[in-house]
Amino acid sequence: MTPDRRLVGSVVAVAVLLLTLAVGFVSSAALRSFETELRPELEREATVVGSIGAQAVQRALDLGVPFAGLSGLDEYLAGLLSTREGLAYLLLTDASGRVVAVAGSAPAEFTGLSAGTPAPSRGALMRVQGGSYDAAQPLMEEGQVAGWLHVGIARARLDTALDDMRWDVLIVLLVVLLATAEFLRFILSRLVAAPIDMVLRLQSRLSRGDWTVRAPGDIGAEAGRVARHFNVLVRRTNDRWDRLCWLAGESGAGRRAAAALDGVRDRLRFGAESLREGLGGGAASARLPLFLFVFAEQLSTSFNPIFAMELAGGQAGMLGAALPLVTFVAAVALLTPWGGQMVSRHGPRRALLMGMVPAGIGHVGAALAPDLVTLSAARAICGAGYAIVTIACQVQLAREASTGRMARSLGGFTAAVMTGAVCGTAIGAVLADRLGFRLTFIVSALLVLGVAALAWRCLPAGGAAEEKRLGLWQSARAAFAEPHFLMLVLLAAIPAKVLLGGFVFFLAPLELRELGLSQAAIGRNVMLYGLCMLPAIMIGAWIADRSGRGGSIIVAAGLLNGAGLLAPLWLPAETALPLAVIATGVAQGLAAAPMLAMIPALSLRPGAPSSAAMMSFLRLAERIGSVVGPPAAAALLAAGGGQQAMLVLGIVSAATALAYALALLLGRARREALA
Amino acid sequence: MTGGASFAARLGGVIAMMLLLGCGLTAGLNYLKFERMLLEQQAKVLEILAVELGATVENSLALGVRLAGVPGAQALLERSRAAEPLIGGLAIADSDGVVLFDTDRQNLGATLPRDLFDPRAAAESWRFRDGARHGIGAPIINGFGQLEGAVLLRYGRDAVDERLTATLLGMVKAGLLALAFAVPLGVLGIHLVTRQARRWFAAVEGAMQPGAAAEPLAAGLQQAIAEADAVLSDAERRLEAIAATLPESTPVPEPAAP
Repeated sequence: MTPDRRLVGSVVAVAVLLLTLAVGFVSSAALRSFETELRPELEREATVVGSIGAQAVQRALDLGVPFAGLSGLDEYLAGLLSTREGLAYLLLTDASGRVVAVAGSAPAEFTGLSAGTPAPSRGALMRVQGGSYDAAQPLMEEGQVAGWLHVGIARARLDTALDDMRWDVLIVLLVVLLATAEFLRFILSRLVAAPIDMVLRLQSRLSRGDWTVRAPGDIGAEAGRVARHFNVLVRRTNDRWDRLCWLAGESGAGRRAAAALDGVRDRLRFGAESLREGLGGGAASARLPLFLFVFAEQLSTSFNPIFAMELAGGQAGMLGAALPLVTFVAAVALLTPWGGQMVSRHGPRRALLMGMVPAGIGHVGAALAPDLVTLSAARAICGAGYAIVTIACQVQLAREASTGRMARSLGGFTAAVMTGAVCGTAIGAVLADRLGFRLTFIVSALLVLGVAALAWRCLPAGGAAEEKRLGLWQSARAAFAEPHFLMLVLLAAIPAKVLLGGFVFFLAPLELRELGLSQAAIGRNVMLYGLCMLPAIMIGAWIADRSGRGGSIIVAAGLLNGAGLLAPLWLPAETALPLAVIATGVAQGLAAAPMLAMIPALSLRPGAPSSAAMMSFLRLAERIGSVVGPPAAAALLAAGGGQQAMLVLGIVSAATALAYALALLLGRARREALA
Repeated sequence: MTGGASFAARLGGVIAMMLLLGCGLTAGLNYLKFERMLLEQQAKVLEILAVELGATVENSLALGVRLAGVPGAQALLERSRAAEPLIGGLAIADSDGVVLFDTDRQNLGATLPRDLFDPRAAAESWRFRDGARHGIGAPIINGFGQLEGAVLLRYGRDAVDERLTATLLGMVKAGLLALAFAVPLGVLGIHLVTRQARRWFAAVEGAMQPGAAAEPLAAGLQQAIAEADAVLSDAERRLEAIAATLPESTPVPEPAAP
């Protein structure tokens, strides 16, 4: 048994444990320090407001009005409270702590200062009363304390900030953990799994008597030493063979010596092959660049419509806000087949490096965009890069997986895309909050540059396809002539992407902003989609494999998505929006694997094109759905508001799911009748 | 990836780097958020004071006094500045931006730059930057709702910087402490969980040495080597035996098989 089976899991577990503990400790210290340092500032505010409020009352007392004879205090305090934001209450007590007048909502735990409490020499007396910081300002009458004016500042402001920070910490932790897992997987694959695989292949060749093979010399760590020792061993054995040949020549007994050599030749082969046994990049060789590329691309997801709306001129540009998203998705959709051809012609590595060029230019263009049209064009250029890079990575993963791990490897593609999307969306929102939209695009461009360097160094060269390609139109006609595939595309794949593009990436950020959420909070909510989708993909695949009822899962997912989008009917927007994002994530995750799993079976039907062709048409259909989604949602938003738009999208999801169920039942009935 | 460091050391390095990144991001993001909130809170308190001073001046205007002749305005500014250590300077300017009263008397009669004195902000207070200093402007409105001038409050961020430095030091200390424990633990953890893989590589490496002892982890490789060794050794023996049977004369070479 080789030792790499559980190694990734164990190493990632160590990293998760340590990162969680370290980040948790630092954030806990930060939060403590934050509260300690901010509290005096909140108390200062209470003191300043208190001293201003106390001036008028003190003036009356100084003019000889007795404390008990003060009138209109409730109105005065109410007026003062209404002009100051963030105050919880204003309260006047007499010297014994009895409440005389009050404005705002004092906490139930409030107790006045007892009689005889001395006045502070300067400022106010600070206490914590319930959920508020209380500043008590003394009111003096003939040198004695006649009463106290209490100003309460709610802790809610501090608590909100602390909650915000806790979320940021959680996001940082999640992003660091996911990124760490990707990096560790990459290193383990390059330095452990791939070398072990190589050694086993070399061993297998030696067992077959093949001593012509050599290990590559450019490996590091233990694997490098093993490779060097292996090459020494092979050379030593070859030297022995050369010596035998010399001995045979020197012996002068030609026939008998030749017979001895033939005995060796029958069992062993010697020499130096020009082709060496390759290390193999492993699935991780494409997975890490893909993760980082998607991460860079998704940095702008949470603010794209908002940035577009700013450039388009506020609310007037509601429809224009969807334009960059549309151009991006359209470019990806239209250029995916072209990207595939490019990969076939140049191989994944070269195609990937070529795809980085438009991606980087697009990000820089978006950062410098002076208007909506330029931004949309820049996003289209990004889309071109995305189309090429993702297809190149997919082909590379399939290439590396050809020895029998196709499903796991291609599952890694989805996981890397999703992980990159989750991390990119979250960090992008935080970056946009701090650096602004334009600088965040620059960060994306720099990351793309880094990914290009990584791919140049780590991806194996070559891989250009040699097989003959079929005609595009011929394959398309054959694919869409298959009714089950047509139903899958029209009633499941396209509606799913319409909802994804229209709701999660367009409608949700705008509606969340309407609720007054910060940029970081919007990013967190949008991120819920990816967080829920990741486990749902695995669950959906597991159920589909176990039950063999992929169609039923797709129907259930469509209904679940519809129900989630109908949530505003029963719940307030603050709850309904995140719930709908979660439902969309879960539903789309559940349906993703069963949809792909259906394709190989469908491609086996008479007249159907190859699995790869059907897969590409499915992807194309999904892209079309993604293109249609945002403008459809924008039109619905402009026509009837956000809630109505969600309801319509929800009904569309449920209706198409039911129609797909009906199509499945009819198809089954027809097949049974034919049988 | 061709260097000499072991893969366990490289994994340890990645974990150490990610720990540094995680702790750094946590501390950095929290620090930035804290800085913004603290500056906002400080400005809020000073804005209350500036607005209150503006209201006091407005009360005098209500009695029919012109802004330039408000009695005790200079003393009011100086008292307010003395009472609040955060305030760096206070001034009252008319609607043309001419300084009428200022805690820094050298500025009296000077005209303020337009970017400090924002006539558009007639209804509410505004904020501005004056070199390294921050400032808050509070409008002074007469009884007819017309802008008469403004109170301009300048302040530095020294007090905030002190708090920020204290917070940053606290977070750096916590971060270093976390790293001091987590990095060695990470290296140790990686060392432990990679034992089997390291043993396997060592076994394979050892199995390829001449005369190596039996390595159960590399049995397949050793078997392949042993088989080749046996075949070659047998051929060597046979060839040496052939050579031993030949007479010790100059050999007449027989045609050997190619």
